[in-house]
Amino acid sequence: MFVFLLTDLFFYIIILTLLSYILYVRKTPDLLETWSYVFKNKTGALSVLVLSFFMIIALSDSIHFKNKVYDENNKKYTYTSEISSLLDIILLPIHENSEKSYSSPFSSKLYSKETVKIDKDIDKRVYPKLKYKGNHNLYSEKNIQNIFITIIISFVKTLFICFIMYLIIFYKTLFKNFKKITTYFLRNKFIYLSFFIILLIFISLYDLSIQYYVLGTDKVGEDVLYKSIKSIRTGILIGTLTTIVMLPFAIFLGIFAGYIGGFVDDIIQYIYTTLNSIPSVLLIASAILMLQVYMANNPIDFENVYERADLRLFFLCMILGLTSWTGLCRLLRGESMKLREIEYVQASQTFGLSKVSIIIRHIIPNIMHIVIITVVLDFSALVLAEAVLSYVNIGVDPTTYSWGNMINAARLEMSREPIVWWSLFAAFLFMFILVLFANLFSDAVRDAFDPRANKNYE
Amino acid sequence: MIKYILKRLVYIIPILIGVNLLTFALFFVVNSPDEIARLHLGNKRVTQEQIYAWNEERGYNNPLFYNNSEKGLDAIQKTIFYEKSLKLFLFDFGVSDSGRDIKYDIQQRMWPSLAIALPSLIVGVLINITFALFFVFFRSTYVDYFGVIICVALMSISSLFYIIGGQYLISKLLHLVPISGYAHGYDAVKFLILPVIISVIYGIGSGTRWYRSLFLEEIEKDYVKTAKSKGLSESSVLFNHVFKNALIPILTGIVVILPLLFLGSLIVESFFGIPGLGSYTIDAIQSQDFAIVRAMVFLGTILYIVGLILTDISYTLVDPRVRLK
Amino acid sequence: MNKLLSVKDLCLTIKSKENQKVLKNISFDIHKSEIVSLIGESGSGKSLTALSIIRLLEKSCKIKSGKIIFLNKNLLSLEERDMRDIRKEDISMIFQEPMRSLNPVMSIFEQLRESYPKKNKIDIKKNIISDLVSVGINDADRVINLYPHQLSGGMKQRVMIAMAIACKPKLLIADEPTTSLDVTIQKQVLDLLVELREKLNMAILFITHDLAVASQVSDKIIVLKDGKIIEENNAKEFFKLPKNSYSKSLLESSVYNRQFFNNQFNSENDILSVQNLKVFYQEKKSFFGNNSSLLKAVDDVSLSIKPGMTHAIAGESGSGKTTIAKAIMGLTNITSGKIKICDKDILNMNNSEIRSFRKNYQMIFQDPFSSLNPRMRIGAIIKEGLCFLKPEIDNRTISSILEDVIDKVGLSIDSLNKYPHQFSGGQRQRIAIARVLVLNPKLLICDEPTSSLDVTVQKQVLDLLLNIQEKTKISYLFISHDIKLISNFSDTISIMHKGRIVEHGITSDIINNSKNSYTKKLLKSVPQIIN
Repeated sequence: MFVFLLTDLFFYIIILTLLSYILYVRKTPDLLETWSYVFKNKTGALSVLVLSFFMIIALSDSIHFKNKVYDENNKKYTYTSEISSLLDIILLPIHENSEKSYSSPFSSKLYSKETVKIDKDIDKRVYPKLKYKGNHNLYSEKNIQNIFITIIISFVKTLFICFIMYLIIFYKTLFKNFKKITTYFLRNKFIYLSFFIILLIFISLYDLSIQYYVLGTDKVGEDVLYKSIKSIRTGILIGTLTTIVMLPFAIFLGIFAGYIGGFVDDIIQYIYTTLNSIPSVLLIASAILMLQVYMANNPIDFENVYERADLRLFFLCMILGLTSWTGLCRLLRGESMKLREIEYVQASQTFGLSKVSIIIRHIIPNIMHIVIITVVLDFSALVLAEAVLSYVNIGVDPTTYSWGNMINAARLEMSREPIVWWSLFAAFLFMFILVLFANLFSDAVRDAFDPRANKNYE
Repeated sequence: MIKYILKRLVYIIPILIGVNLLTFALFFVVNSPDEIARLHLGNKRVTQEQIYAWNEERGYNNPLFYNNSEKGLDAIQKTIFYEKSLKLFLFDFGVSDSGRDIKYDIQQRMWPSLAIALPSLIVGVLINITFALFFVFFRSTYVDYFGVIICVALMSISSLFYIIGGQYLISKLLHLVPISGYAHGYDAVKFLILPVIISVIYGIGSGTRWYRSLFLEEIEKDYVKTAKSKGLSESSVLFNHVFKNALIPILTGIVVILPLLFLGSLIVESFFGIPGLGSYTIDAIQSQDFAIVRAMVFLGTILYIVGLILTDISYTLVDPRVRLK
Repeated sequence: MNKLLSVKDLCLTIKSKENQKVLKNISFDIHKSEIVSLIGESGSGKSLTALSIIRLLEKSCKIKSGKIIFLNKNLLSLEERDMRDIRKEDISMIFQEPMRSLNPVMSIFEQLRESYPKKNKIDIKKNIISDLVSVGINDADRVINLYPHQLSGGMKQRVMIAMAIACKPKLLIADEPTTSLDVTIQKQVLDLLVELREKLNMAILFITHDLAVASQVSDKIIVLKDGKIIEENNAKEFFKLPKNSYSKSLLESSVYNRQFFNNQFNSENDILSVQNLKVFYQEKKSFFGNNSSLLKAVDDVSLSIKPGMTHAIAGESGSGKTTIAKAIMGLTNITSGKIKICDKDILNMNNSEIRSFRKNYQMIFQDPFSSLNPRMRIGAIIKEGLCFLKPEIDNRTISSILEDVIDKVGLSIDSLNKYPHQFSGGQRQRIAIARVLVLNPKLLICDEPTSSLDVTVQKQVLDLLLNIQEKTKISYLFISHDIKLISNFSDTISIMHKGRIVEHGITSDIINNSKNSYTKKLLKSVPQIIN
């Protein structure tokens, strides 16, 4: 049975918006030209590729359902209270079982000694063997050899998948235009090679983590790699949902203030100056604190912990959104004021077009580039902000998988002797990759959309 | 000039009132004081008497806006709004929920915050400008290209990793300086070095990139061509012409955050155990001491607005085009 | 003859234009104390040629081949350091926009000082003051302590010239030095340049798109088109009889074959009558606006136009001519006055009345690059007014009207599906004309419709407007700073100065026989081609 969490629904909306925007761009030649600048740029193309992999993971983690189980007592099928996602099903072999406690990456033993009874009276302190992974090499007894063979097999699998995809895409012209296809691939070799490498990384990680804990296990023996992958959804949701929440405010108020001007402008300016003058961390902290109190005192009947955690994530996005629209609003106000004076808007005014239709026909299409640049730019900042907020305990629910929570837990692990470094490392790695490519993407987008970036010389 | 400043001061009053009302609504209307008391006392098995006593101790038992049981001025004065919100205008921050004098705490704690934030800012700006000028000098070469990529990479790392990594590397592995703590007087230096270094490194990525784009924007302008046509060398064009123009946004960007330096950095201070206002805020957030959070919101707002006014004034000092009336 | 500079077979490519050659085998010579004018339309490569000589090209430009010999040295093979010495001592340059060419945060003194060899401060100050006086800045003592924004456009250009001649250069490159200035100031600057040439005995490479300006100053004319030199000739001979057909068309583009058949006032009612129009703006100077001053943009202006006539408003920038247009179109608030179109007071109409009435009067704007929404197809742009002002028309009629009108303005039908950025400036202005033409207006206000266009294109657009007038008997209110153009184009004229009309009447009367001193000065400043 499918379950739709609140954030799922919003995430679907985001994906739909994204898809319809892509369709819109494909129909609009000048937008298509601008976007093609992003893809011509190598870092731009690569970052789109990486980000879409992340998006796909987040999407598959946003399709939730409850499992059917046969209830022995009542003799009928019921649904578990546990909610799992499509991603959980795909990654089932990885996270099915968990160990007792910490174990380091690729290790076959636990990280700390335990007392084991060897004989009746003889106790010995040893590193106990891991139960589920690390001792079940598929191809060779030696670890390094085994890893190597696994990667080679993944390589073959990747090749096979790519070949199938190639057949599906080019099945019509496969034998007719072989030369043309080859030159096409050679011209775009960078992007296809990147695609291949990313796919290879995914498949080999998957194959490896069936046999090993690639990034170790945490305190309760859960696979850290699995935790990091699950955190992707949280990071992306915070980065995108927040903007979806703030965009209507920013666009609507910004255009109104800039285009209508006068009294409306004064009020809107007052609102955003006031909101802006409170240091944002404090504003967010206060809002979330009050939300926490509210949720603690008014326990709404949640079916389970998932929905409660989900609601908190949703509210976090709302609060971040409500406190972050001011910057974009001010930019749009300035741009609308400029457009109000521009000649094509005045020409429409001489036709007697109403203000609303001028806004829809002329203003909105010509401020969208600012919106896009800001949205993309904000994304990485929000992902980073989540970690800091979770560290201060005002971020997502402690039960939600998130990099912030992993870092928060890692503080204690770092002061342990010997230290447990892999949780922190995993969070660092995943966050770094996502934020880095988001930043590179935003650079490419800004270069393409900023009118100052493309200059023509006489 | 003085007339202008006075005018600006008048202009900020509606903003302060707005912030005041907003925080009041957030802290007292969203949740009633009773609910907050219940949270502090533990959710279950709390009697109404206990809540009453907790509120009475902290003065939350009055009505929100209007006290029916009092007469005259007291009807307005003996309310939460007057006691807790309006008094902020007089810089009367009251007493924290745990019973400490907030104003005293703030006065004590703002200096350690400043001791970290000010050196971090100064050193950071100097380093960033140096790097930015370096990249601009070598613009559209590989030096610039890889410099920018390194900046983006540095920007993509969460501040938490810089702190945890720096603490681990310098304090735990190399044992150069203590991990955390604070001392007064000159002893403070050894506690301050590491947080300052980490704050500076954290800022390099975004700062250098930002300054670089400022310089590049200036370098495209027509007056640069004029300067070159006079036969000036590349470096004297860069330093005498471009730098002077780019300095305006840089300087004003610094001035606007100067007052906020008193608030310190939340994360850095709490990691390094610096008894500044940043860690004060974090402690308050974590122990849900709303009286302190409220005071800090108000203080932060005032400092921000002071920063804005200082920015306007600094424009008149550095930019001949701007004259305030 | 003393050759000062000779450019030989200069070829240049630009990265952004797919490495196409934008300069093709440019060769010419400049002799000592000679003024050579490089003439061409935008994109012809005249600025690039100048920047190649002083070697200040953008990094995306690459010189492929050629030599630039200056006093026996090939400038293109010099080290950057030696080139800097040349710029310091022998070659100077002044640019088009004095507004942007001076560093805004340095005082005039600081900027000028850099042009002088390092001596002690008092000597430099004396030199600077005397040089400023020599370029016609009389209160130089005061000016050197000012910042660029405190000077007017003409003053700034004088400072630029002082800066350029400080080193007593042998060659001065002037890149459209008067284009952004008003005609009266343009005249002064041109006179100054000629005077300085004689005084300092320097050669000037004068770059302009304006043949009349060139004819005032130059000894030799070089015409550039698409990166090629198509004519090089002595100035006198050139203006008498240009050899090349393109040069001829350049020369002819300022002449219009208008038949002034409407010279006598006919008895019909006025199509437009403006009575005592006043538009004042409150200038806000602070956040509170309590010490604001009144800006009288249009002060007590009256004018009228008969059907089928062209009335022109001429004046310098800031004289309030555009404000009149905006006031008529309802784009700005009116302080007092009456505006009647076809005997109907448009100021007293309610919203729905004015909406249906708007189709009778329309406007075309100055800048064709900002008057078309870049995100709309041409068809949608032209259709916009039609759909709003004549909602009764059905879709099929609309598409036939569109095809009809796009043909009328001389564009092909498939343009309707294209976007504005695919068209040149002249084509865009045609689209803007088509946009208002579909409404069949009785009055068309043209606000400097050709001032951002090249002369040959300008002529085509104006011919189109004349053509339309002949067919439809439309009236034009034509606003321009270019009195020469107006004199060929309009029946009646009003001269504006500082928000007031100083003189009005039949165009030929005013042009030939003006009584007002300002009009006389304006007419005198207009550069004429010297035959």
